[in-house]
Amino acid sequence: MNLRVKILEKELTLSEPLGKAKQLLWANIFDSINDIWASIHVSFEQIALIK
Amino acid sequence: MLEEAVRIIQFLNSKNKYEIQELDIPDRTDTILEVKRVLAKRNLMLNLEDKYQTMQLAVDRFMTKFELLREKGLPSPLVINDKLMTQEDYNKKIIEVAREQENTSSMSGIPTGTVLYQTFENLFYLQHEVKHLFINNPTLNRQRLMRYIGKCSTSSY
Repeated sequence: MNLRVKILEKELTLSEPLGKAKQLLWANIFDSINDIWASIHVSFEQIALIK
Repeated sequence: MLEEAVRIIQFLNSKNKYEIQELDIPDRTDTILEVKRVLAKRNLMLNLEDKYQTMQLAVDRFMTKFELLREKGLPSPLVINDKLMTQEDYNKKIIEVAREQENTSSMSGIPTGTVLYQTFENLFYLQHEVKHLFINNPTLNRQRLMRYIGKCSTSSY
């Protein structure tokens, strides 16, 4: 029994759910960046003009 | 300077032909037109300066906010010479960074709320702040501005 618990403990890691959570957060960031990309582009044009 | 120029125009208009000749001014109309041209150029320069100040403020605000996002892990959208990369390239870069982080997910200590929050703190920050990168979305009619600058620089005295 103890051995089975130990094996389970070894196999059960948080890396997968953590990875999924990160994936979800990055997907949201990705969408937001795409939504505002036109504005970022305008800002860089302004920077180029001012320089 | 503006008041002075207006006074000069009024002064020239108030004098008759002989008084103007006495002042060694060969052509009254030409002189008035010249003063008016200087005034017009001055107004253009002031407007341009205003526009520049507004743009500079917006650019500084943007750079400050963007620098914070970069410190929290958002990849830089710049290529060589501080130019913005294409949206397609930047998307690829974000996907690359996201995959890298996804594959190296680990947690130190037991998964308490605090530990979980610390693990995702930067991403929560990015997720929230990216949406608020701009208070008002910037607009820039580059062609119109360049025409405007050209008009200022070619105005002759």
